[in-house]
Parts: sequence; structure tokens; C-alpha cells
Amino acid sequence: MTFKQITTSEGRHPASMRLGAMTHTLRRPGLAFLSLVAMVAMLLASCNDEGLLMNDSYMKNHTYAEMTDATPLQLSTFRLDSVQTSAQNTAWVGKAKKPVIGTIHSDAYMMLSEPSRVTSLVISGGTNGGYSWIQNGKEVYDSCTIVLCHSGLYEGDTTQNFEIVVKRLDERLEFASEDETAFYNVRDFKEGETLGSYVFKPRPHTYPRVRFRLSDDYGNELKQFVINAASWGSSLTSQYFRTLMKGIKITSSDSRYDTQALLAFIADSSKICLHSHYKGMTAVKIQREFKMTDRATQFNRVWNEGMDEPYDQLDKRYKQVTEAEGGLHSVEYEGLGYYTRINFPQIEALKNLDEYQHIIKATLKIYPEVGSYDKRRIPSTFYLFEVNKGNVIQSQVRNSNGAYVHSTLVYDSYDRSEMYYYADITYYINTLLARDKIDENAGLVMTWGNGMKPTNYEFMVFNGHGVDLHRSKLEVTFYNYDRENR
Amino acid sequence: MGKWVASAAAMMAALTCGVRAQAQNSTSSPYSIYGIGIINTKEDVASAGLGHSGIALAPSEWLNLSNPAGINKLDSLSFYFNINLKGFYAREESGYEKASIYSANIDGISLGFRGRKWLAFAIGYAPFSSVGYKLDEYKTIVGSGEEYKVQCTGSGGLSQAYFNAAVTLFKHWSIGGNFSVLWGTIEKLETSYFNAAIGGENIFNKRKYQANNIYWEVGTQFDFNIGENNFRFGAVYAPEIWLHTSYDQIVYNDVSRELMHDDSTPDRFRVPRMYGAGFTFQRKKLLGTVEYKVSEWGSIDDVKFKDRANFRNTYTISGGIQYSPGTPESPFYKRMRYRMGYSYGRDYIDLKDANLMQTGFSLGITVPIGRSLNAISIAYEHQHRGTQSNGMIEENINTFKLGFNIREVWFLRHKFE
Repeated sequence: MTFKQITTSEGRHPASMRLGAMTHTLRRPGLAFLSLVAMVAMLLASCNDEGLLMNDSYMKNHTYAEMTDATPLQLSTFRLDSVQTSAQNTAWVGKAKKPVIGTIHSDAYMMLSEPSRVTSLVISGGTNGGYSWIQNGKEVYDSCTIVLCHSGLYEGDTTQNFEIVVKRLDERLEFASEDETAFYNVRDFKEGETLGSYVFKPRPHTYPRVRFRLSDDYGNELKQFVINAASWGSSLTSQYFRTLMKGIKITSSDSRYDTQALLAFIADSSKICLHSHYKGMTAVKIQREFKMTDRATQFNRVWNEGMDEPYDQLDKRYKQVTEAEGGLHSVEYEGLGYYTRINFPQIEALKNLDEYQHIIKATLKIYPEVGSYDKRRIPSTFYLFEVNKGNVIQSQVRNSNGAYVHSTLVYDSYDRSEMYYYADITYYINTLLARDKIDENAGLVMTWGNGMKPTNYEFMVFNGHGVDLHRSKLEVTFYNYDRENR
Repeated sequence: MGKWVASAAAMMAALTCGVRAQAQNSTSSPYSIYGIGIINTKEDVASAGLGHSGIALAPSEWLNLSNPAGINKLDSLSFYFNINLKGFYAREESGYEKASIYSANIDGISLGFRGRKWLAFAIGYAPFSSVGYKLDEYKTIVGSGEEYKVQCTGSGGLSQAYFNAAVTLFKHWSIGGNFSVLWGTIEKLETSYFNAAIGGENIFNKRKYQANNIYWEVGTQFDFNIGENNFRFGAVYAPEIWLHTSYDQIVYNDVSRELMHDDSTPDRFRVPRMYGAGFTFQRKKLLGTVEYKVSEWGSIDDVKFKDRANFRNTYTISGGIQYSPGTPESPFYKRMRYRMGYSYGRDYIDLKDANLMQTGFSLGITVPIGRSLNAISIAYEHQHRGTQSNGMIEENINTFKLGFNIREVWFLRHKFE
């Protein structure tokens, strides 16, 4: 077998006769070669680092974000029929005049407990650890005093004389039934005789404790209780003490002086002390303390008088004084149940946004009226609750993480001339807008504490949306996106 | 028959890898943000070494697809298979910062042969356009002055699978046609990052375009000899076409939900009319070529893109020389071919009335594999594009191309005694 002739279709001689032999060796390597190439290509898949920073004129994308504070906001004031004032460990006593809501009065009620120990008494090498009064005329009654510790909070004018009056209760300070678990600011208990009073110039920070003498009749009652208690068991002791000591009321309302301040005392630091001494080789002072131990029944009775119009009409929870009616302001004083409500009267308009808009942030900025608060102790935060038309709480406002929304106090650290509360309610607004039907009667209520139970007795006036300077507002930031062939 | 099956399988495998690689292409150029991206060519690596010139070339050693008539000189005994790889490293400067990007991909796969004395065919796959960018900017919230970051990324591009036929009408005159199917997906994602002080939400605006259509171009070549000198003229023409395009846009955030989804509105991209002419002179071992190409991007009045950037006609003048010191029987080093080229042109993007010029200098070499007809072609090009003025980008691109020119003798006719 020999090759006879090899020609191409063009009649030209192929590049080389050697190719005929090579064909067999090249065909398979060629395919393998292709596979190798494919793998190399796969391995050389592209990668990149961070994007190149450009100015915005290069890309000219049509999306943008804008912030507007034109969304209407309306503040109003409503008042709860009553607010829980018990179990706060703060005893407010006195009165103070406030704008709009008139003169605020507060009396504190508390229950004391029998002493748990005897202090400073060591006799013949042993300690008198019970209630027993030392017989044989060795222990002598000296006096009975009450000690009240300032919490540091106060309202009104503390430069004036303040008379504090302590009265015993003729009605036992306790819940009327198992259903009653708290006392409200309108609760009252029948009072008995005055146990003592004291006139002083309040110096809450300089003199943190107030101690003054109570009547010796009352002191001797306590002495007799101690003597009798020696033969009682502990439960009987407690029971008898409740009969003797129904509770005390600390007030200034019927004092001889025109008290102009509200003072706050730490309730569980309050105590009545029974002072005596032991006549031995040397005199030994003995002090028995009757402390406030039951926080649940400690409460403040708070009321006001002389309200301005139209705030004097707020006698029902569902009634409101809008910012337009209230001089473009709203009021917050939780000790009396005054709360500021926030309404979004045209929230429906936000729902009908341009279909190319999305709210990325909705921020409440609530401005306190300058002068209506004490810059040094302005509360740093408030919480928000959803309320219905009747101002009944529905739920607490949360953010997208499920955490409760609270505000941040923003101010100029130099002179605090511009202060406002800032709260991110984006999730609330977006959730509201996502509902099929928006209840325009729904609103938000601001509270200093985590509920409508006053933990703070700060009085504050907020600027409404209608004022010119430092108006409260809802700032909404929209993301505007484009659409192809729009 | 077995050869065809094997070749087809190999091509399909390579094509599949190519398509996948194309899909992975995430870096191309910041200028690919406009329209369908940066337009690629079907050129071979050898053409790249000649400054991207090929309109007036008709080589017998490799498949010249820069002109549909450019395969009219293929060897009738050979089956050609070319696969080209491309890698590039680019340095970009925006006036704000510098960035480096690099990428590697399959640049084209083709096979061809001469079916008749007067007829040659080629089929292949090549990227038609590529989109790849990642750009950052800081925007200001209107009304508050707060800033947020926006990142725009783009990826994808169009691919083309083509069938090319060249007919030799007379001894010195050939015409050719190239019919392509264009298809591809372009994804553009704009991400707005709002920090916690501005809501803490990230919003994604994603567009996905899917385009396809038939595309065609024609070309012709004419050559004559004067003594030992060969002169060849070539011309190409491709009409303007619309691409059938559908798009899917979705806007969503990372907090809760989809904000908008629209996949109903049809859309169209346009590929402009393109034409060019070239001239090649060859004398013994030396070949020189020059050509001029125009793309009529200026006629595109697509509102969608004109509000981002104006388009203008592009022109490119390019040329190169090739030196082939030996013959097929020469020693290895003399069978190598050496090329160098240069190109200069204006890009189709008109930003702020600034001419976006691009220049490139290229070097190339073809290395034979053993004593076979197979060869490896390598080309390097340094290209400069754009400017930092007017908020634009200056790119210095170093491109490496690697081409495998596989050529096997399949069409021997054996006659036995």
C-alpha cells in the first residue's frame, strides 16, 4: 500500500506530508487540550475588590432620598381619671403651682412595720434581741421622731418655709379586697390626729434627711406596744402592731404656712424611731425603728385645683385638649394623669404615596417649651404607646427588632437652648401604612415610664406642630426609586 | 463523521464553559454602565496583536472573523479550531481614588474549514458585549444633608453564536456574510446603604435585562498582486438592529419586604450600524495593515440611556505590521510571527461633551507547536481610555490574549493502488 497522490481542493500541495502521520497523534491531544483550556477558564473566573468611588454625576441614577417634615402632626392633652401612684417608693409631699394645670397638691401615705431588732443595746454581756422593754425602771423612754430622706427631686419654690405634718390614719392602710392591687392618686384614707409637724427651709441636696419629733403620747403608745410584745409571738406581734399603727399620712396641705414646694422623699428610708436609754453604770442609748417596709401600699394622693381653661374640662379620659385649643401646646404631668397624645391627622396621605416611594425613616421630634422644664433634671427619655380614640392603651410601640421604642434627648451641650426628644418610629409608621385600613383615630401617647404608671412627676409643656419656632414634627425620609420605562 | 461528532462535542463543551465564564464576568469597565456595555469583537488573537485590525486580512493560518469574507483563504485540507482566552488587569482612577480590577475569561471559540474551492465556513461563539463594574458614590438626602452610600454593580453581557460563510466570486474578490444569534442577560444592581442613623435599611434596586435577536454583517475583500507585492482591500458593514429585550425590575429591602416588582414591560436595546474599511500590503515576510471603523451610536435616541449619557458616533483607526521570518519548513524560531499594532479612537459615550478617547498599543507573537500546524498566539495590549476630568474615569488597561490555533488536516483524499 503506497500513497499515490495527495492534492488539495485548490490543487496546492499541503503544507507538509508529515501532517498525515501527525493527524493520529494530534486529534486526541486536541480534545484534551480543549478540556484543559476550559478548566483554566473556569479557574480564572473574575474577581474584584471594592467599588470605585465616583461622584454622583457619573452614574446619574434616578434614585434619591429626601426628608420632609411636612407631614402633619397634632399634639393634644388628655387626662386619666386616675393614675396609679403606689409602689413607687417615692413620697411626694407639698404643693406647687404649675402653668395651665393649676396648683398641684400631694400627700404621701405609708405603712410602717414593727421593729425587727433593737440596736445599740448590750446588757450584762447579752443582747436584748426581742421587743422586750427592760423592766425594773432600767430603760427610760426619751422621745419619738420621724426620719424622712430626700430623694433629691422637688418642684416649686424651695426658698420658702415648708411645713410638713405627720398624721396617723384611723383607717387601716391596706387593700380593700384581693382585687385591689394598687392605690391611685384619688384614693383617700380617713386620717386621725396629728402626730407632729416641722417647719424648715428645704435643702434637698444640702441636708438630705429631715428628722423631727412626734408627740410623746404616740411615743408612749409605741413603748407600751413594745412592752406588751414581749409576751406575743411574732405573728401576733405583727397583728397587734397593725391595729395600733394603721398607717401615717405625710402632708402639708393644712399647714399654717403657704408651702410652695413639692418635696420627694425616699419612702423605704422613712422610719419612726423610738428613743430610750438604759440606766446602768453608764447610760446606753436605745433606738427602736419602725420602718416603711410595705412598698405596695405606699402611695401619693395627688390632686390639683385652679386649672386654666380648657384644661379644666378634662374630667374624662376620652376628652382631649388639642394643641389648637391649648395655645399650640400640650401638657405632660403624669402624677395627675396628664398625658400628651400624638395624632397623625393625614396619615392616610402617606399611605397613598407615590408608588415609587418607600419610607426609610420616620422620626418624631418633640420639642419641650423652653422654660417649662428644669434643664438639670429633664427626663432623658420617653416611651410611646398606641392608644385608641378613647385614649386606652393598645400596645407599646416597638421597632423592627421587637424592642420598645424610646426617645433620646438631644440638646446643645453648651447651653441646652434647643432640646428635643427624638424617637425612631419607622417601623410603627410602615406597619401602620401596611394595614388595609388605617384608623385615623389611633394615636400615640408619650410616657416617661414604661406604661401609664407615673414614675416621674416632671411637668412639661410641649410645643405643638403649629408653633413657629421649635415645633414638634414628624420627619419622614423617603427613598424614591425609579422604574424602567416610567 | 466521527471527527464532526468529536469536534461538535468539544465545541459544545467549550461553549458551555464559555457561557458560564461569561456569566461570571464581573469586571469589565466602569464605562460598561451605559447601554449594553463594552462592545467586543470576534477577532482572533493575531488581530489583537495588529491593533485590532483584520478587515483586510485573509490569513490561511488562523480564522479571521473581523471580516466575514476574511476566511476565504483557508487551507482546503485543514480544519481550524481557535479558542481565545483573555485576561486583563486595569488600573482605574476617578479623581477620588484608584482601584485595580482584573479579570479572565474565554474570549471566543470558533471552528472553520473550506467546504468547496470557492466556499469557506466558520461557526463560533464570542462575547458581543460585556458589562462589569462596581462603583460607589455618596448621595445626600435632600432636605437633611445626611449622606448615604450607593453602590452600583453590573454584570453580564451579550453573547453571540455565529455562522460565517465566505464566497470567492472571482479569483481576487470574495464576499462574506456573518449571521449571529445574540442573546444574553445584563444585571444591574443599585444598593443604597442607609446607616442606623438614617433608618438602618439597605435597599436594593435590581434590574435584569434579557436581550436577543438575529444580527448580521457582510464584508468583502479584493486583492491583487503587483510583482511580489500583494494588495488587499476589505470592507465590512453591519446594519442597525433592535434587540428584543425583556426586563425584570425588583426593588426590595433587607428589613421586611419587596417594594416593587415589575416584569411585564417589554423593552428594547439598539445596536448601531457599523461599517469600516481596511487595506493590507504584503511583501514577502512583511505585512502591514490599516483600517478605519465607524459605529453610528450617535443615531441612537433611546431616552432611557440619553438621560444618563449621550452617545456619539465612534471611529477607530488602527493598524499593525507583522513579520514572518520563515516558511513552514524553517526552524522553530523562524516559524514564529511577530506583530505590533496601534489603535486610536473615540468611544461612543459622551459624558459632559467630553471626547472619551482610547488609544492602544499592542504586541503579538505566534509560536508554532512542534512541527505541526498548530500554534499559540499571544497578544498584549496597553490601552488608555477616558479621563479624570469632569468626574470621569481614566483607565489604563493591560490586556493579555492567548489564542490556541488548532489546525488539523482532515480532508486528505487517499487514493490506493
